[in-house]
Amino acid sequence: MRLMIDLMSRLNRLISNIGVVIACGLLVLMTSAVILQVASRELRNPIGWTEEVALASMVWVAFLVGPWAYRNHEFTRIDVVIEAMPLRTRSILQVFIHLFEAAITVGATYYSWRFFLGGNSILPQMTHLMRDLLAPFTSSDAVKALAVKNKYVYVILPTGFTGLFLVSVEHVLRAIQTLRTGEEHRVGFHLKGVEHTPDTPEVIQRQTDNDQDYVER
Amino acid sequence: MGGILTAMKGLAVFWGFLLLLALGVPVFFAMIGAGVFQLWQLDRIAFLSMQVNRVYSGISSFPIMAVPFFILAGEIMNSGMVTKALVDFSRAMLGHIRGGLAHVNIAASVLFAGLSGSAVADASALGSMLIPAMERNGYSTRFAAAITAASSVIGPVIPPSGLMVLYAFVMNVDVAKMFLGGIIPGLMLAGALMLVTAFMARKYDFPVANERMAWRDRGQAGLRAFFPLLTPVILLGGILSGYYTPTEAAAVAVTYALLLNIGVKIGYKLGWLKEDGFGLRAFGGILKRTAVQSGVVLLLVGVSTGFSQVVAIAHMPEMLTNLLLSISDNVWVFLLLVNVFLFIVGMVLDAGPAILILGPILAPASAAYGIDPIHFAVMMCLNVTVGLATPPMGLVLFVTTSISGARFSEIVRAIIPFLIAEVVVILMVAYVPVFTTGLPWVWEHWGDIVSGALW
Repeated sequence: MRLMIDLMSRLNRLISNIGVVIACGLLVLMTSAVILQVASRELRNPIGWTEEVALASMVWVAFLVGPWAYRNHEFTRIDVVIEAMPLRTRSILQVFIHLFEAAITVGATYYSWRFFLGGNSILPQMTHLMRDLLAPFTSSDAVKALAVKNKYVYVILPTGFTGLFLVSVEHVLRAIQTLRTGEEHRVGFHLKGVEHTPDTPEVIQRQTDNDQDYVER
Repeated sequence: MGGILTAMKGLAVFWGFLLLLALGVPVFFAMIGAGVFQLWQLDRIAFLSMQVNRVYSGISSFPIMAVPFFILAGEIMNSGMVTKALVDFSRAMLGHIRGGLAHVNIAASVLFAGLSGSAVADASALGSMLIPAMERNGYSTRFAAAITAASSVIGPVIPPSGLMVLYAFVMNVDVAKMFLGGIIPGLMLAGALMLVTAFMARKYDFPVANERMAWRDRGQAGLRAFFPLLTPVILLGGILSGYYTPTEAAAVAVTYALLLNIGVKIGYKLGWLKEDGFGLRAFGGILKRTAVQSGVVLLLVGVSTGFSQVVAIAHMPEMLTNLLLSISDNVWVFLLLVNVFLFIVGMVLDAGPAILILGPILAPASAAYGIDPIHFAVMMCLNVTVGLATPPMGLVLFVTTSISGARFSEIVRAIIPFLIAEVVVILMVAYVPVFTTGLPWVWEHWGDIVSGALW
């Protein structure tokens, strides 16, 4: 069991960290695109592709950071009831909750995959941009055949939901482990806006100690 | 019996959602789960494939892009020396009166609100600076934490406000009018908190922070805060003049915040300023925090777009409207019921999800009572924002607890007088619409007012 948790933990940490790094880059791209949009309009030479690029980046940002946020308990939830339960009851419930979440991510992956497959319509402005960019390097026929389809944006939906599924598997395993050993495992718990922490054991311990400070026991 | 069963079936999305939330399922999954359950109950499971489309179109929307930009602008301002400049300016103006630092805390929140629009950013930025300063000045830790938490809720009420952008998006309301409508309620919150502080300062003999400063020193402090304080002017001015959209304005705010930081770094290198701005490494952290916070909000926006469609299929807004009208057709009773309900929701749910979930359900009912959409929108945002400072799930309470090291329960006790003041403001805003609709009206009729056509 520990081996499986360790494996899933490493895999999810890698995937979610890569996701966040790419998301940071896309955030910069998104901001730059909108600024360019304002500037080009003021210069009486509006650029068409900026909005498409910014929107596509935003969708990607959302689904890229999803697994990281879910893994680090950043998704909003009401835990007043569940935290008040005895550890064993809580652990049993957590197993079912995470199984439920896993089932949802499986369904969402399936439907978003179908959505992705249907994304054959073309993003006109981005297609223009790509044709202009590639024109000096490729034959004119290849450039004419080039089309940026919506599915290139849509692909992040099944990818993101798959990432969420992998994290939910890790959560299920951890909940089962808690049930078996009676020791609670948390991944990188932290307060929003205060500090963002890597999920090292020392940090988890420190955060758990903080937990006891703000919850009256 | 059959009627009750039909009603239960029709409202599966509602009680399914509540059940999942109570069990500790994250809002994101609870909305999907309850939506699927409802569609299954209504034999409309084929709608599921459409839901992915709704999630996508909910996120892929230009107006909603203002949310990540406002978060980014707030994070950049938060990381630079802007917070210190605002606190220094507030201190120069108010530090000499009794309970000076408590007043400074509130005033700095008002100024910070014009830059960030996030209560959590306000609490963490001002709290880490002012809570230790207040302790050194003789205040109890719990009081310092409580006043920081209470005043931080001004952040999303005074524009810019990420919360208002969310509401405007889900309910298709003019965000510029909402921003204008939030100014007076935000200032009323500050005024109410200052009144309570002044009363407590007299009763408990709070200390002053410093001697009355000369106007020359005040001017210097004002000069340092001048450029950060231009942000709301640039934002609102640009939006209201139609120069750019709220989303573009938010992106401009990000650029402006970055330029300010570059200016600070140059000033530091040249020896004009004592403090340096943040570097590239810190900027990486800012981007990461922004990406994560934005991603969480955007995913919620996406699923809530699908969820609102399911809610509409289940005819929930109509059912709720009929239910409320059957209780009373008096608008005052309706406003009281809604505010009590929102306050209770705010105790257990974050402001963003509360807006995304309840906006599409409550706003149609308010329209049936003839309430102005801007008035209802601002009132709702104000109420759920105050919920950020209410136990047991007050996000800013957690932040100030973490910063101050005081016990959660102690801060909760200390914040009660301030919460009472904020509830009074909520009720005043609810029952006197001119507080929210006044400025948007003035803006709309500005030409007529100036030309005298109205008189």
